[in-house]
Amino acid sequence: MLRKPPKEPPKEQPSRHISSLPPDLIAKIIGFLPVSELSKAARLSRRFKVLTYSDDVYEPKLRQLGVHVAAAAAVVPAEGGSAGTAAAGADSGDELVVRLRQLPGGQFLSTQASYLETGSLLVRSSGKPARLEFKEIFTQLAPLYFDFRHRQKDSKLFREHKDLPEIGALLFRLRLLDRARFSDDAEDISFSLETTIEWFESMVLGQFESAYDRSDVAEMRKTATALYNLNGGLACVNVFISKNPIFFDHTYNPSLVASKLPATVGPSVGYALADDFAKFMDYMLANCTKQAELISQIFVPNLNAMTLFVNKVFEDSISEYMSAILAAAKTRENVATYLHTIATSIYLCTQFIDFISKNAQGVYVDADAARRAMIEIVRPYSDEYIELEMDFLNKRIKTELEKWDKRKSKDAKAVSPSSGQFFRAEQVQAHKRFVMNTMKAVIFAPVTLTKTLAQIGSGKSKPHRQALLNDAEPISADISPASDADHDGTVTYHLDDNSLNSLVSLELSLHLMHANKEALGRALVVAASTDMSKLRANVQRVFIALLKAVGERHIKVAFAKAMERMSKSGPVDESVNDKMVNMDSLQFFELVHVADLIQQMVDVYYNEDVKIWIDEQDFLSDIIVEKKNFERVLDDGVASGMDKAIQLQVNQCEYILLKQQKATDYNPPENGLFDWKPSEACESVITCLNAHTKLMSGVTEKNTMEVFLSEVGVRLFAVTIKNIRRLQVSQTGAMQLICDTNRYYEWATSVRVTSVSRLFSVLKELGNLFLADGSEELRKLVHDAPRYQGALRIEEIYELLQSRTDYRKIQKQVEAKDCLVM
Amino acid sequence: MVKLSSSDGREFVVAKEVACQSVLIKNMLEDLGEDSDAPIPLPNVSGPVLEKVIEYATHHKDDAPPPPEDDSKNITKSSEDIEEWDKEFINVDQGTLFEIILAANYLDMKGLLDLGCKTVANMIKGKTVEEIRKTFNIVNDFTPEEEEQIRKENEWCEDR
Repeated sequence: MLRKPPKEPPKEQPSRHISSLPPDLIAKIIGFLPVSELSKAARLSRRFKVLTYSDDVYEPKLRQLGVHVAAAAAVVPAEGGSAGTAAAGADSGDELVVRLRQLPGGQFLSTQASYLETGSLLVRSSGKPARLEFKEIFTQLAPLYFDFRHRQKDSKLFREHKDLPEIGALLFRLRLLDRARFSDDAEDISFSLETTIEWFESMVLGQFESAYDRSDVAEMRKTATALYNLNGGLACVNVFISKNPIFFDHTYNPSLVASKLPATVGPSVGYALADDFAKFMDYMLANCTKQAELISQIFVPNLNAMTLFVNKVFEDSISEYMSAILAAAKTRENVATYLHTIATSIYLCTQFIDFISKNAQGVYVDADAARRAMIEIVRPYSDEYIELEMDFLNKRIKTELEKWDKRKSKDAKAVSPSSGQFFRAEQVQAHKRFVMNTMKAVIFAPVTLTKTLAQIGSGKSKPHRQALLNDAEPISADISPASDADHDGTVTYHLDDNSLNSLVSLELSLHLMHANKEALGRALVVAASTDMSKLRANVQRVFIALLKAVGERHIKVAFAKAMERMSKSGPVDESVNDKMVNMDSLQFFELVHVADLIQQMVDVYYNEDVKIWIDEQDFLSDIIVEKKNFERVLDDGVASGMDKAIQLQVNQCEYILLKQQKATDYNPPENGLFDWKPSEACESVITCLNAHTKLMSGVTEKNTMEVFLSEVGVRLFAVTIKNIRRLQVSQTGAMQLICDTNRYYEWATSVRVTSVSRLFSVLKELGNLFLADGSEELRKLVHDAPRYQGALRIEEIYELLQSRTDYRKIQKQVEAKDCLVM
Repeated sequence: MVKLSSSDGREFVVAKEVACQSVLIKNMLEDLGEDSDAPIPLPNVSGPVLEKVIEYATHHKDDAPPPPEDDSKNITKSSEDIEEWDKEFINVDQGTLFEIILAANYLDMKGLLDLGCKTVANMIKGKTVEEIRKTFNIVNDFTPEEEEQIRKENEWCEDR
């Protein structure tokens, strides 16, 4: 910043002179003069003339008269000279007229260009000096204006002009001229002009009204245009609306809604109200379309009369009827009816706006404004909607769960494990496919509200009645008040039949998902129509309710029960079931399987219907966190139940061996027949093992599976060793033993876990210990440590050898040699 | 508080809201930041004029901010509506009046500038051409024929 020392600019002039002011300030001063003084200002001197004639003086005045310098006009090159630019200006003016005439209703525009000069529509071309432009307008208006000093209704304006729209336009411009205060002593003119305008407006409005009563469209159009030119013409739109028969039409009487309903309960009662509202909206749409045609003939498009009309229809007729419908719906016992009616009503309103704004007459309707009006009238319902919906959904989940609990305890005996019917490993995949197909058929078959919603977005329009009836059908089964009683009977899918599992239910999960999907559809419609910002949150709430119900309140509980049972369970024998399978551990494995299936179903639902509405990238959002938790429920259940299940399973194997492995198996009587087959006990064990493990495959993740199998392997290995030690093995019996160990090994390789197959390859070697003849060979075998891969210690080998029938004979040799070696 | 320094080195201490009636000073303060103690130099405004300007700004410090330029359409632009206080305030000799107008223009104070310009306009109104020339010491550089020509050119302006 400059910081000059004081006294630096010594002012020569004792006093400033007007000519020391910069030109723009002088122009500003001249601008404050009344128009009548401008002539004098121009005559003062050459400099003053230039300044008085400058655009700086006249452009503000033109603006006050509603004439704007168009941005486009500024682009017109100055080189063309005044003639060229004037022509360009005229062109653009014509173009404007042409464009306006192309608008709907444009053919009714006054043929006089003066119409276009009303409002702020007039565009000034930059080529012409502002002074000449102003002069043109002023000389046209001034005679009419000053005439108002003495006259009103009989003034020059009315003597020279007869066309109402033209008079309206001129009055509008005279009012602008008046407000610009170009003349100092014009109070009387102002007063006179305002009085005249008031009189003119009420006179024309009266004419419009009587034309309306006579249905004289031409007269209505003329008067409406006059009023539009005068002051925007809102008054005559209001007259049109207030006299419109649509608001006096009692075909659909809100006060009769309650009495019109079918009194009886039936499957259709749930959506009868929504249906009635749809019919009403159809009727309104037809009426409004008729009015749209009339409006297009009467009002100039700029007036936007149709939007005002539609808003009024919403505010008066539709809101009234909707309140009546919803009030009636609320009296119904079933909240679902109310929720369905809300969602449908709101949806119908958006459809209505869609259709009316794309009307065949091409009358412009500001859909956003209409939507705002609609949102305003449904606000009381949409605000409380989501809480009601969640409340209802949670109640329904609770009922379903309780119902299932009750049925389960009732059927507990019927599906007791003794039925012997259980999941076979080979059926698992087929059954899964069947369940998934059923689930998809049930959940996705009907055209859902959600799908229709997506279509709205893509601008696809179809008659809303049809669209809604499609939606209403599938819902009806569940929203009928009687459904609670009928429910068990109407279920068409029996997913649980094929399973003995009484801990977890596919059917229940499907019910819950169905209920959830209905709620989701409604929540989507309501949010999309009223407040998009709530959409994501509401979708989250609805879906999380499902996750919690299925995850925490169903699967988790089932796992807890399975654990409880397993901890009480002991080995079973033939008296319980012929395969000697422990049902409790088997049930656990099946539970894992079914829970996995349920999880897959939820996943399909999530991918199809939920995912598109939420932000999957947002890892902190509730829905993602809850979904992760839900997925963890199964893994947690598996992890915690695994140890017990394995122990039960191995105990069972041990029990089988104890029960079935006869002493003669490995110590057959001389001359006994040996058929080179594994012993019966061995086969039983393998069957038991397979029943469990095959079920697990493909259910839990690979790592868990490996841990599980290797644990089974380790424990089973110990059991088989124990089994051998329990028995006496002769040299001929050793053949049987080898057969059995080979069979175990076969099983071990079939599970495809390296540690298990390695362990059992050790078991396979053991046969040789019993087959070996002669001390030398045996001694080598015993001390061939690599053979046992560290799975058996030397002491354990010695212990095993005790099972040999000739143990006493060889004991000394083997152990003595051993001492030598050591 | 803000320190202002006039062209002749006089310093004035005024409240911030008074100083900020001037858009120029307001912008400068925004650029300099709050904690500048140095006086703001106003080399185009002399002490007596700055005193006058501060008097005006102090009286009008509670006024609503001027509406944006676009709204000028509805504002009656008449030289007539001047407040009583303003009329008294601007009742000064011609030299000072022009000084104030220039200062207001420089300091970007719309209200004061309008007041000055309206006052000059009011001095023109109702006088004959000759009287106006005399009032403002304007030299007529037209021939009588030229003057008549201009009068004719502007006949459309006259009241009827």
